[in-house]
Amino acid sequence: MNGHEELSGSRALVRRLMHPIRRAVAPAALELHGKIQELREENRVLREELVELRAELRELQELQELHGRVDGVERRMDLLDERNGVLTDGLQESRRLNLRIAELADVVTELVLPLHDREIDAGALRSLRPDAG
Amino acid sequence: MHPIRAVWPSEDGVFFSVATPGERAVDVLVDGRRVWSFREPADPPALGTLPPGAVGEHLRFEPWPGVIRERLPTRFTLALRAIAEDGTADEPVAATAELSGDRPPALADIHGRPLVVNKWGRLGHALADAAPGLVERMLDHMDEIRDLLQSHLGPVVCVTGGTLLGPIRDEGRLIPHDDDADLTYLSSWDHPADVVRESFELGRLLREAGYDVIRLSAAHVQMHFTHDGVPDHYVDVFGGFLREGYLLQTFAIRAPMAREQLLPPATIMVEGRPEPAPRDPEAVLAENYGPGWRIPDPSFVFDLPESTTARFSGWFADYHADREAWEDLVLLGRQTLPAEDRTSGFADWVHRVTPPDHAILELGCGLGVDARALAASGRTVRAVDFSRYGIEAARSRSVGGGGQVSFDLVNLLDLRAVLRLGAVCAGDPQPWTVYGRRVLNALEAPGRDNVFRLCGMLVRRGGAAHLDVVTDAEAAGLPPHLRVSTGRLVDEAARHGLVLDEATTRQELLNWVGETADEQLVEISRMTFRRRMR
Repeated sequence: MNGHEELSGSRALVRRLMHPIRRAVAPAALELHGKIQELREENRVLREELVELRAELRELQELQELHGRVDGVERRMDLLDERNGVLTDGLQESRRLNLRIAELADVVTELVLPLHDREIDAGALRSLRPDAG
Repeated sequence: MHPIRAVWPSEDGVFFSVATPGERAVDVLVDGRRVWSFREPADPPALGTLPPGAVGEHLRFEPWPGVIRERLPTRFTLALRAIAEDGTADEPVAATAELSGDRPPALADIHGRPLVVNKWGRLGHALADAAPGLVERMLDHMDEIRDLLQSHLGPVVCVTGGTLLGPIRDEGRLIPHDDDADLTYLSSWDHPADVVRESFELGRLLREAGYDVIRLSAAHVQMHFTHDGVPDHYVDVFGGFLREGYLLQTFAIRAPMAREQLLPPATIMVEGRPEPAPRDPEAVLAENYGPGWRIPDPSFVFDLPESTTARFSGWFADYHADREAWEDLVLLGRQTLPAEDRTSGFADWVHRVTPPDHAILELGCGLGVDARALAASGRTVRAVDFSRYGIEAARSRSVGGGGQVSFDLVNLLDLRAVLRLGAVCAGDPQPWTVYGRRVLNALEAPGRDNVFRLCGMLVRRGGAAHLDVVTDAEAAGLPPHLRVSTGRLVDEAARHGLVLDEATTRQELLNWVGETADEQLVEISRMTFRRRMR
């Protein structure tokens, strides 16, 4: 038996001797001791719950962030819808312009030029040289 | 076992029972003649609507199309004929129909030609009901037109549409419920603007060859033919072109296609005649009518993607919008010349406020009652409409009095026609006043733009443009796309140098084209535009 073992044995002996004394003199202390154990256990459980809650909080924060991103995407989709409408209108207008160009080219060649073919200004023609762009 | 077990006609439509539910096409026969086809509905009719005696495990109901309901006889034999999956027609199942009302049978036009409900849901004609020799005459004309186009374009002309579908599917025979002959050509151009210019040129070529050419779009013309003075048949010519690996053929095809699938043309037999066809007709038919093209479907309707319709409407427009509805007024006998020509209240007012030396140009003159009455009052009147039947009726009555009237076929949807009319009128010495009753409600924005452009050209010598518009939100029968506010009209007119000089609102009787033909009292605004002072 070494010194340390002697000390531990002494402490255990003292503890056994003190227990009935404590029970007689300060029973509340014993109760408090028991409570400490319960509180430690409770603390452990609470810590575990805290860990879980922190995890949930992180998830909630992520969810909130996702909500924010979804809101952002929706706003962007609304803007894109609006933009799509503008572009579709523009595209359709561009298609109509093709028709307008063809109609006007037809009118100029079939109606305007024949109506004025006797009044064509040679000077104006010269100013519109083919190589003038 | 027959798919259709029993039939019960009613005032509102046809009840029938089927052995087993399906999505089959069903022909409707009135006194033994097919007049319409529909697709069997999936759901049973609502309880409480069943006619007495209508029993069966699988009951179905199909309402009469509005265009035919008012024309059905009061007593007739109604039969339904199911079309099997292989396209063969089942034996008809018949019942006697007795409908309320007192009217003569009217399933024919004013020329006595039998009517059917066509694939557009409108009243039309079918080759199955054709007069003797009609198919031969139609194919003769199609061949003439084919040869003319080939002489101009080269060997790029083919039969298409129903004239390709029927013969490929049914050993050279045309489809009985078709009503015309269809040709197409593959343009050498690949830009829509060039395709349009070419189509305009072809239109002139056909007109110079003596054909009665109707332009339906900037890439689609139709030639009409009469026989013994009666409208007989027509031939369609659809423009087509290849662009970026796609075939675009008005008005129904936009699909990946190689030139080698189209040209050089193959030869198929059409009612015993050799005709040019696309090299790969099956591929073209699948794109035109869908993958089920091999199975005859009298209830077929086009269901085109917006990506296709948007391109064609933007590039080639629609020069035919509602024209058939207006022509039906005459052709189906809904509108006839009155016993006596009397000016409408609007025309009478225009006559009173217009200086005596002004000629009047009437836009959308219909049967020409106002134009003739104004001419009889001493006016010089030029009146135009896009309905050739309307113009024919207008010309059929002479004018008394000292004025002059001329009626011309002018399509206000066609900018070229509008500019030409403006140039013709501008060449006349007298000032012009423009008059248009109900015309603004017959046009969408592009057509109205043409009207205001024309007015802007013609009122430069001090004239005015008098146009009215229905402003009554409760007016029945006027579709939303043809309603327009006076504010918007003022804006549209301003683009062509016109300002609103006067506007008055009044209640007037209105008969609008279409199924809701009942006369109604509605709010109408009369608007007078003049040239803006510089």
